[in-house]
Amino acid sequence: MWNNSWRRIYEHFSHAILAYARQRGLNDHSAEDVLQEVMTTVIRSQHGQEAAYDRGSGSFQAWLWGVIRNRVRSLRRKDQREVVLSPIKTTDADGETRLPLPELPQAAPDFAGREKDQWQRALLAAALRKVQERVTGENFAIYTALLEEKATVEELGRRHGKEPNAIYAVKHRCEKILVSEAHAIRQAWEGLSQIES
Amino acid sequence: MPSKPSRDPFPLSRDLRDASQTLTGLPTPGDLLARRLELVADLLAGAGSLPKEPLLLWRPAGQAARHAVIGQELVVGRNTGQTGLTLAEDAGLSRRHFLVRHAADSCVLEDLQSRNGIAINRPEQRVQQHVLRDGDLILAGSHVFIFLDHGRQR
Repeated sequence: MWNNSWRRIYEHFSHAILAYARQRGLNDHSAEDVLQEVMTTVIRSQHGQEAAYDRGSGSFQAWLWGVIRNRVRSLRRKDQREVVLSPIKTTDADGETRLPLPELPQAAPDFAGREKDQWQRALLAAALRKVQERVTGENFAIYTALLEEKATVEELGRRHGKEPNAIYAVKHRCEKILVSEAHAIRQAWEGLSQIES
Repeated sequence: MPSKPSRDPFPLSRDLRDASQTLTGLPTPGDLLARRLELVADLLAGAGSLPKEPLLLWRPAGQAARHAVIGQELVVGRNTGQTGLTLAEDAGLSRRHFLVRHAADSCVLEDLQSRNGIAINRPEQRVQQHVLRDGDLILAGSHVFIFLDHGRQR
């Protein structure tokens, strides 16, 4: 059972949690704090020490997503509190200094939707990390250069002393692993929704 | 269950670019964190029911896990007087070795000018003062304490 093994949660989602925290604007140190706090909460839940999970009405996936999201939000709030914002001053023709009026809020942004989208991208980053673990450093560098459109196949071939066909072969192999890993990690995440809390 | 990757649509190139850029410089969760988590799991398994307040959890050699609630503040050492946590058998601890106190919505660890100092999570990470995170290890004397903050909803 998933909820009996924090190690499996860690194995499958630690990269995704770090990537998500980074995508939400946290630095490396804070991202690692998020991972530690999420995993500590998971371990506590497995020893019956986390009341929020015991009382939860949704699936284990919903509970875990809530823990990840809340830990990231909490650290973001703490980071933001440390930033001192000073209002922008303007000076008019009379030499008087005025502060700009606050702007009215636009339509409420879909924060929850954006967070879920970022989590899906974080799962993809975790799958890409698995590719990195399974190919050579050179091949991964070639693949990411192609992904980020930093170089053409021909340029990469010249740079790495390979024929264009060899570059295509690297791309094909990495894509195959990526699709397989992305499928596995998505399946693992969806599998958590089958566990009732 | 066998996977069927061919049925998944290939990720969009912009998502892949984003994922690739996210990976740049992303730290790898190392074995050290996994080992720390093993220790947390091991101690929690034998800790019984714990209060929700922030607390320190540790296991004296050959004994069951113990905990101490931090309250407003908690002094830990070899001889802290009546209010602190006294661990007289640990010669590596100073009489008043360190303090954990509430500050705003966090708990802060402070070295009380101890002889051997304190470290967080790994021996080389020595600190004088540190804002504690749920699951942090505090290394002092021959003890390893786990800081737990069960009830935090912030």
